Amino acid sequence: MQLEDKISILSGAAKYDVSCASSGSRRHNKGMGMGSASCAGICHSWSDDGRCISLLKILLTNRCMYDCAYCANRCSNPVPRAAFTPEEVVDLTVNFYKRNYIEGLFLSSGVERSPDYTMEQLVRVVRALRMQHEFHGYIHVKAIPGASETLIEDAGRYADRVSVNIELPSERSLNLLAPQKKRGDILMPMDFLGRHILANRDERTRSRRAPLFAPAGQSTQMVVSASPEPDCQILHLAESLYRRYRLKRVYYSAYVPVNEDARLPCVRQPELLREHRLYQADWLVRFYNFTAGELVDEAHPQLDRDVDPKSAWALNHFERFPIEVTTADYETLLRVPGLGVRSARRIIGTRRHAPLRFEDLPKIGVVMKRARYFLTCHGRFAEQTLQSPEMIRALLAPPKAPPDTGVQLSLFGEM
Amino acid sequence: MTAWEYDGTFEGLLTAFAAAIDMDAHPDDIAPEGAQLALSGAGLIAGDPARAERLVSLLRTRCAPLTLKHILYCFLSETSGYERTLLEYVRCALAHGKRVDTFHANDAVRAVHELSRKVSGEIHRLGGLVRFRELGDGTFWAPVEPDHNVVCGVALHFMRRLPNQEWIIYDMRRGYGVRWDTHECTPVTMNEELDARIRKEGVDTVDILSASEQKYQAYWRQYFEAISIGARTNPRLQRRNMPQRYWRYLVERPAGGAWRAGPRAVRGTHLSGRSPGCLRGTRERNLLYWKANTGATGGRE
Repeated sequence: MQLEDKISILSGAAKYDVSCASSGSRRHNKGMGMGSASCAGICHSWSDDGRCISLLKILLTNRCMYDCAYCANRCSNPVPRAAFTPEEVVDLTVNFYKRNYIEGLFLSSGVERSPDYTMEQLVRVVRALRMQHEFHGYIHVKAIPGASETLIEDAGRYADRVSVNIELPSERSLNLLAPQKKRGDILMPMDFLGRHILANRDERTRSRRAPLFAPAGQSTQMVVSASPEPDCQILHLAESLYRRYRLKRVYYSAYVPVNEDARLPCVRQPELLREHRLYQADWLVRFYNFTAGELVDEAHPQLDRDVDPKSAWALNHFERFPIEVTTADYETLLRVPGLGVRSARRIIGTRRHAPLRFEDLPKIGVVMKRARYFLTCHGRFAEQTLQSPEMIRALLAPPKAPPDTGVQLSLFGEM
Repeated sequence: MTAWEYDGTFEGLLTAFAAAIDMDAHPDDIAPEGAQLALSGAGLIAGDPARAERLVSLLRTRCAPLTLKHILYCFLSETSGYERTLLEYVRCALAHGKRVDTFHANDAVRAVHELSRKVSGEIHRLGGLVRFRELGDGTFWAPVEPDHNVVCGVALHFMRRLPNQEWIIYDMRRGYGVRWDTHECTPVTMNEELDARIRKEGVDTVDILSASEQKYQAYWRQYFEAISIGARTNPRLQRRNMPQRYWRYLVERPAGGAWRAGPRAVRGTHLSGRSPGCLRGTRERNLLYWKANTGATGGRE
């Protein structure tokens, strides 16, 4: 088989893996070998679906012994199968990197023969890149559930990020849709990696020379809307993953129908808005000191689709507002819809040496679209009258589409 | 009403600033030589390296390194009419020292930050969007057409990233580039004949490329097509993240818009309201100033 065809098959098979982050790791190049990893991450291109391409995202092989209902590569699917040799992957990575097409490699694989065999193949590629080619670029490698701990440890030693996919939000759904996979097999390497990463960070604080172990941490991914769990359950799961295994990221991927299967819901379009709201809530949990319980609970198991989770929270807790922008502390400012980490810091920095006025807020970069309803400055609102939460919600929610036609209106009239 | 002219170099600009600060003068306009000044009676300030250097070291002692970077980036932005705002910023920086960059509500500070953000943003963006082509002699060559004069900044990134590789990053619009020979950076200019051929025939068809170059380009295009999820196609998002003006020298072919082959025909169109000549002879000095002001030594550290 030609290399072109392999690239087509094996990157086409890897495209449902969401993660393409290349951030969180800093590798300096001291003049030996090639490449470096930039802490902020660099995107190198954007594919036609608008997602960034920063890593060469491929499967080593799409031959797989599992039969998971939602997966394009399940063994019962009649798709063309292919496998790279480790040398081919190394050659592609190095040559793409030299031409600055990519920031590094994202390597995953279908499970062929056994988890151990597959994991060993993955480690071979990563080791060759780091040891033979002195490659200092970013490497993200999948840990295969069920593989031995020594192999996973090897992967962590060479890669920047290691990830295990949790696949689905609950054990029940996993048993139904991926009967050959066990929840315990997935959580075990996660726990192992979590403990190892923590121990390594500790070592690194004591000695700069301690070897790196997965410096960009571990992440995971789950498919949403393929199973009936509400947002409430998904967010609580994510929160506990962050807390227990210290994950860097949980990725959510809206289910894209690739297979006909009675166990799967019938969807025409992937639920992108749901995915978006989940990411917004995820950010609130990680960077804004929110707990999942504040955003969703038994009474409101789903996130609000019309307004973002922070606005929804603020409207449900309207008694806590307005916030006085000249005196509120950092944590309180962070809870105001429209204020982010940067705006909150700038507000605090600016009011330290000058009185803050409403007209200064847009100047220092605060987006007033949402914030104006929740802030006072020297006791005054930006608006003339204090509005009720219902009125504010109506202003913030997207205008309802005209119910009749269902045809997308064109901005430029009929062509 | 007074207007000052400087020689179009960074040094010249700093000399003019130093003069204004020393004399406590507030000229109504400061512009590079050759720009069409609306005000008559423009006085030319001759560039004085020693005087410029004094201002730089004064700024170094009083302010944070970031302040100097903002000043340099404003110069490299090559927008017209930023000079007076920048002078105000420099005055503010000398008066308030390290605190100046927290004055977000100050108009001059905000304008300078915005301009500087555009330049550093473009440097970061090009760090991803630059595409090297392997030439027959093993050098990797990347043509770019940035909005701002950022080739040196991009080169600095690749000096750290690809130190064992010989490469050239070439600004097709400004007609100069930076060459890295695995030890140091030097400014280069392409010969006219090759320049004309590339403009006529396109980047990837000229016979200076190495034998394996086409192969890896084909692999990359193949990859680019396969990685996109058809059910989520979103050309608007694609264009927002990767503006179309950067597509000309990409290897891949994004679908979200018409892809046009070949570089822009007109040269020097970026210098709106200025004659292109105002930057003549400044390349080497820009590079030197780059090194002086960002702490890069030019050679391997």
